[in-house]
Amino acid sequence: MPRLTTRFLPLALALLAWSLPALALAQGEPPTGQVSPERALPFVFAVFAVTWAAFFGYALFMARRQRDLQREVQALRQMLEKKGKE
Amino acid sequence: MLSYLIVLGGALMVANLFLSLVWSPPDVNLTEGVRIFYFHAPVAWVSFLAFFIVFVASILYLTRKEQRWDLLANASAEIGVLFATLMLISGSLFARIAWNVWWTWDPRLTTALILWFIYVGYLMLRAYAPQGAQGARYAAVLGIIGFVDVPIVYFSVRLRTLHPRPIGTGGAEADTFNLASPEMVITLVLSVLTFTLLFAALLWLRYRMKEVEEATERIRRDYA
Repeated sequence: MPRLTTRFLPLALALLAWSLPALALAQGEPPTGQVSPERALPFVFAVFAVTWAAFFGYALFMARRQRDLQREVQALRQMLEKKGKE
Repeated sequence: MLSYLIVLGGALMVANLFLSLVWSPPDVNLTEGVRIFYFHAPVAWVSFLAFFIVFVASILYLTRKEQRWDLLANASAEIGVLFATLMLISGSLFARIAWNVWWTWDPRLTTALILWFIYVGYLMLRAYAPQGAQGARYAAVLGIIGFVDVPIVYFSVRLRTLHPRPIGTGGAEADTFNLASPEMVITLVLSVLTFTLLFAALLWLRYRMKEVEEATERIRRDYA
């Protein structure tokens, strides 16, 4: 199966699996008044961590893909040289 | 050009981190939690921009039949899904602080989740559909139809919703918080600019990579 599918299908399923219990337990009363900074900071940290992890993960994916492409171009070059000699 | 973009984006990202984490004051109600907004709103904006590019490139592909538009749509959809995923995750964390829930079937949240599924579907279609012009046509049609959800997401805050309205369209009573100080507005503007530049750099890189992928595939087909 194509690589994109194998990459995104588990991601979609994991997100769905993550969301179901959260959805079931989600309902609650909105907080009244001021949110304490101690309560808010872990969430701020989580957002920053997830965002940067995602960007670095994507950069890593692109770097790997680029390396694969370089190998592929090299293989093609060799193949064409061999054909040229024949 | 790309290296300038990356250097400028990196410098802006450092400045943006300083502004959003240190310089910008806390909100009256959300206190430090408001700092999530400086990531959540820009990634949402960038995902809409990415899907708009998919929409335009898909129309251009169907009308002109030039492969570069298909490659651009494909690259933009991939990065758009990345940003839309970050939008949903950061939104869920923000909701936990602001509304005390991880998720609620609010019109804005529901339509945003549908948008995410549409473009994950788009990427899966690209993976499963036949290679070549036929698969590209299917994807272009989905890219155009899928974009219909973007204005629905944007305008869904006009319905009964917990979600704050876009800046400048809602009254104070409609919002969970307001950008009360100029520092907050400057931070948000810089954050949007930074993430837009980051998107431009990623899109450029991914598009060029797809061009090379396509060229190697074509050579392999021709000479195999």
